[in-house]
Amino acid sequence: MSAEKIKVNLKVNGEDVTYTINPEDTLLKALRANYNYDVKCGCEIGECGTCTVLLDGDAVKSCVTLAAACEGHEVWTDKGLGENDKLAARLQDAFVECGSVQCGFCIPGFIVAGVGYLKNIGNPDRKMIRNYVSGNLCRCTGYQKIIDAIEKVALEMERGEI
Amino acid sequence: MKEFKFVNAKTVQEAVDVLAELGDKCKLVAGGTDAMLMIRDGKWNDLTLVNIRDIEELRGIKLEGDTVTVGALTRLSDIESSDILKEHAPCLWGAAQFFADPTNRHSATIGGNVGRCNTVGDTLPSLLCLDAVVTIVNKDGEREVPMSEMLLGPGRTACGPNEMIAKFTFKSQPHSAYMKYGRRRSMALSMAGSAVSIEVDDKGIVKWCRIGVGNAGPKAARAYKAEEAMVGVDLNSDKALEETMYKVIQEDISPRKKPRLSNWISGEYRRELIPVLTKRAARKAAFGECMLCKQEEA
Repeated sequence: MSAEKIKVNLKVNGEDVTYTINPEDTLLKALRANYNYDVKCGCEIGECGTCTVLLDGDAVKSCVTLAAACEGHEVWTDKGLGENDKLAARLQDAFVECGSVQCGFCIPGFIVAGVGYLKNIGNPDRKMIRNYVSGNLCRCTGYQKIIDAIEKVALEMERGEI
Repeated sequence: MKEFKFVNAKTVQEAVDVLAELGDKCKLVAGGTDAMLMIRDGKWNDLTLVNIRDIEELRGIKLEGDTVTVGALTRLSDIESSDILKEHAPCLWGAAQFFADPTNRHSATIGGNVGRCNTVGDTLPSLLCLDAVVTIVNKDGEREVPMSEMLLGPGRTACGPNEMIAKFTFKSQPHSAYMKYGRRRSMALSMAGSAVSIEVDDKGIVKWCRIGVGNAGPKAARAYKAEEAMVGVDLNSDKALEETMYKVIQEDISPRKKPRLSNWISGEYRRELIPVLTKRAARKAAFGECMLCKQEEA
């Protein structure tokens, strides 16, 4: 006997969608099963942060979020943000300009966490940025260039350029 | 094979109705940061998952007179950014700064941290030293349990299978602090943690104090003997403090000869660590900060 599937209605990247999922599925699994491959699957225990998505405007780890619990909530992923949000698109460009990407596996998580930082705090303070993205792991870059990119956009925001 | 059912509870009433019906055949899922791991590891199976994430009435931090109320579904990120708690319960506020990482703090709730009753839970020592009262609701009404009687052992609390934690209430305690020692600033389980709520006179002599220690035994606990011994001790004197701490708190935290060890810290190290953390927390609570041993605020 297999578990009964349930339906969950949520808003992903601005579109109303209905996913058919198992009751115990993570948001990560539900998103990836529905072709949102920009949400990466890393540790699946809430440590590495590459699966970070915006849930109602807050950066959360989708691997430790119950998909069924997101009924009626709004989810944004890296790709959706980049296509619809000016600030996120600018941050993605800044990552390229600063050379923040090496293997790239952690980057979707960093972009989403970075957007969360810029929207909720937005202070061009390296210490605060470092603290905010401390839930994301990167094994290539040593973090400096990632912090550089977020700081760069935060400085542009402060000067009113975006 | 994983077999779960799902119920979405939007109000406390809906949640307690399901709890009354299913008891230990269901589990509450709030933030999910711990629940999802239990599911993934197969420790939970054949259960009904009750989503309580969207119950607004259990969320929020309120100050009435000198009584602070924290709803069980208050997220750690709300505690971290709360000005009320920063002023009236700096130990809990400080614990939230060191709780997992900012992303997890957007999901994790204080009620979940207490309900799971993991010995490393970061909010537990603070709630113990604040002498918080836990309000537990069930179908017939609600009851109050003091925090010191709430934690029974690893994963076991006074909250029964038909009940859920609703809120925490405690008196304003501006002189309190939490000290955690972990391998890293973020995403580190505490090797040991100590929270102190204290009152000193103008010379620095302790009038009374309450101490909660985390990760010292199978559960976070009050250090009653150390609390008694601290009365009358001069906080400015390293020697007096250390003597009291080393002698007494050992009895509190490891009555048996062998201290508790775990994968990431040896028992002997923890035995040395807890008196030091408690000493620092006491000074931080009384004087605002401890100049000798300022915890790095990254």
